[in-house]
Amino acid sequence: MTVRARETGAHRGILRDAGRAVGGALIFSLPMLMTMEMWQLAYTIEGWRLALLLAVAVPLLVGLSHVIGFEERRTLRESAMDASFAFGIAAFTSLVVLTILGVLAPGMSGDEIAGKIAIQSVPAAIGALLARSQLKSSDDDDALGDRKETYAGELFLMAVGALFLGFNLAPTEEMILISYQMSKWHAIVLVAISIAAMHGFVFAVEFKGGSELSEDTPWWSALFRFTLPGYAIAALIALFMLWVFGRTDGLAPEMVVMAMVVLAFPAAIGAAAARLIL
Amino acid sequence: MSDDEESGRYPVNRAQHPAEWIIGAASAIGLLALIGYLAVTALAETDGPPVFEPTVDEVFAAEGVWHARITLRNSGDRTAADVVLQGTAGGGEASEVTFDYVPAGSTRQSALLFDAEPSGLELSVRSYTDP
Repeated sequence: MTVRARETGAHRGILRDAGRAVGGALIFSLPMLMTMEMWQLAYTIEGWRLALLLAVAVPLLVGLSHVIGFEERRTLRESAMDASFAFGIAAFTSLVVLTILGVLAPGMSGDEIAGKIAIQSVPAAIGALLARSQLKSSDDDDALGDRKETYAGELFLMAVGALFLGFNLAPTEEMILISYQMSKWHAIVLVAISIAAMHGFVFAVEFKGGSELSEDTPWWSALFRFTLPGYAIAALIALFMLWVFGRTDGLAPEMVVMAMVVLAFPAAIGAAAARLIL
Repeated sequence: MSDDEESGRYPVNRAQHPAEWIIGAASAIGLLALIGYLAVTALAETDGPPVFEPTVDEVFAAEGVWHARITLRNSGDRTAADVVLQGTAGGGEASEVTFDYVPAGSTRQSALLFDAEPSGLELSVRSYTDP
């Protein structure tokens, strides 16, 4: 595309970007927009935990925007602008959908409305950013395909994937209920299955976007350097989310560990999927 | 693109930085600790029923209603669901509350409400279900 064509397309470009971002926010956050526990969190979550969640989400969104950004040699400022744009679109989309669904109604306190939108905005903003990389038309510049992947970048993407899929499940009562139903032996098997699934997704079953191991790279080397750190990240993010959502309050340490293992399963799958998709 | 270049696209096949092995080792140690912890607690576990220890934390009046703040602790081995706790004041006034879950080794908080000051409040757990 020539410079001139880029300039004349700029106005249409902004609308198009906004449309894609709304689409991404909807696709990725509808399951959460229509989950009762996510609404209830708005008035059960303590304000400072919500603030901490947002404080963690902001650098994560900027980083994600940086990693999946289109143009090469992007500045941090541009990535921050992109992330703010995605966050704004996400908050707007959440506001509209929650209002249409009657979740937001007149008579609710400002705190409650702000809380409901803020919680939804995090996964929706991830969706809005991903929309730019995944829902783009084929004639757009495809910087993503040529992006040089780095070790730190891979770990970062795994964290985003774990956070995203974890967000779908962490607020639900089922996470805690499942941990009550399972024995410790079930939990040990679940840890093993999570790690095997993660490793298989990326290295073994040859999904599109998976990594092929060269002959000089034995499977255990990939397991040790990528899959185990990936699981550790997924487990820590699972623990963080359970704590943010108040699921660990008053819980005995061994029950906290059980709940972490339960949520680490989808988080690990999310981490592996992020490496394939992004 | 040759085979070498193709597989070089993935960081997993590139020259390895020592940090990758340090992070890998730290993760492996964390994982072993997790599995070890689960195995040790599994072996130490006995299969007794839930044991309830209700305590009254504080009693106060607000807007003409008496609140008795309760902490219910389950010191047993199993998690209980739908736990019904009843409180009876010395004057005969009774009030009850249902806890969704009281996990093994964990505590849950609630409040019982009374019209008159609940002196000599007696707490007892009336029922629970298995989750």
